[in-house]
Amino acid sequence: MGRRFIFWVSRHQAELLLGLRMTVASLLAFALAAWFALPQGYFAVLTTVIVMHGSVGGSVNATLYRLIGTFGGAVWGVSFQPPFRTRRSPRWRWRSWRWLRP
Amino acid sequence: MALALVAVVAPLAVVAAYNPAYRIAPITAILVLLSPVGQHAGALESAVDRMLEIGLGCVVALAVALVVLPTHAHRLLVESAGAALKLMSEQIGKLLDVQITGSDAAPVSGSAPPCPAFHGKRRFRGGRGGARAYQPFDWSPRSMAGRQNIEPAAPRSVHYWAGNGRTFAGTAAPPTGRTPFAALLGRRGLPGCQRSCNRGTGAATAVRRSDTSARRLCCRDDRVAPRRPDARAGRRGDRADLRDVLYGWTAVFEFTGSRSLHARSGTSESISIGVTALASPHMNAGEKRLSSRGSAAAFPALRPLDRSICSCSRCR
Repeated sequence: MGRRFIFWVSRHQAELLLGLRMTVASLLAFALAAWFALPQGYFAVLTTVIVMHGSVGGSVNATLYRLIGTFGGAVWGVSFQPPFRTRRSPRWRWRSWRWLRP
Repeated sequence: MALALVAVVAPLAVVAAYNPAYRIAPITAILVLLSPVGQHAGALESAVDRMLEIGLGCVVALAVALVVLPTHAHRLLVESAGAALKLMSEQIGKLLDVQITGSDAAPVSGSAPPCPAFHGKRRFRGGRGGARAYQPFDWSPRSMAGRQNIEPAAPRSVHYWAGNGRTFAGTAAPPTGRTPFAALLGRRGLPGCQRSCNRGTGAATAVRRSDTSARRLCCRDDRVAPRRPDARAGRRGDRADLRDVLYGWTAVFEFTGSRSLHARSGTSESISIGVTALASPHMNAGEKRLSSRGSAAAFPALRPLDRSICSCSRCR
């Protein structure tokens, strides 16, 4: 039993290491997000799980693309937000009301 | 809001379709637009918060990937290549039987008939008695002299390609002139292998065992060619060859993708490995040189595969 278990572990070493790394990274991200009191800290945890790959090179690439994608999406979303926003701030309401005035 | 959603998602979805690595971009844009925090606190604050959170996650993941038991793509590549070689070695025995004897029922040589209950199963598992019960192939000069007469009929070299998770084998005509394979071996291979390849006298025969063997191939390659530090990482020409040069066998692993993107990312679907197995029953100069280095003693686990020789009591 013991030898069989050791053999199984040696055969699935890469998968087990990936699971270990993912667990450690998600726990660490959760702790840091709670420490910094981020409003939606679960995004950090999700990011660690998404980004973590089987190899170091894969993780570096995924991190890079994740950062680029997030930055691009955030910039794009912010740039399209004002003309179509529905929940209006008082200042927005005042402006739109002024536009509607003859 | 629907118009905003369309205007935001459509171009980002196209970008994500072109490159799947950017599939996060439309997700982030949707979250910035539609999340209650984003609608409540404003888009800019929500975007900044999201960038901070995801940046924190990225930094943590990168640090953990680099610090906690880092696994490099080269090791994974070698392990998967070893698994592919194992699969191929199970197939090559049958192919060899067919090529030499014309039937997969007849053995290549030796007195014991092939035993399907034993071969290809327990020998590779590494269990107790599995590898020991298998009597290794006799590569002594006396036995090889008997094999000089065995000449395969039509195809003399077999090219095996394993990539994208698939492993398949096929026969091909013997390479003539400077085929890509010949060029590969001509630049990297040993003289014996090169000559054997150029003459087309190699009879297809089997490759190796398992992951351990592939790791040993790496070590062997380093030992054989210590002046080529690029042999392991494939720094030059997007090519890495891990050669099993034991007894004239040659297995060449080649990165066919762009090294900067694929080999570094380490994802299994982007690395395609070409494995070319060529062996010759003739003991030529290169093999003699190799055997004079004591390669059999250095690699006791690298035993050639011969399905027809089995000396266990149940097989007789």
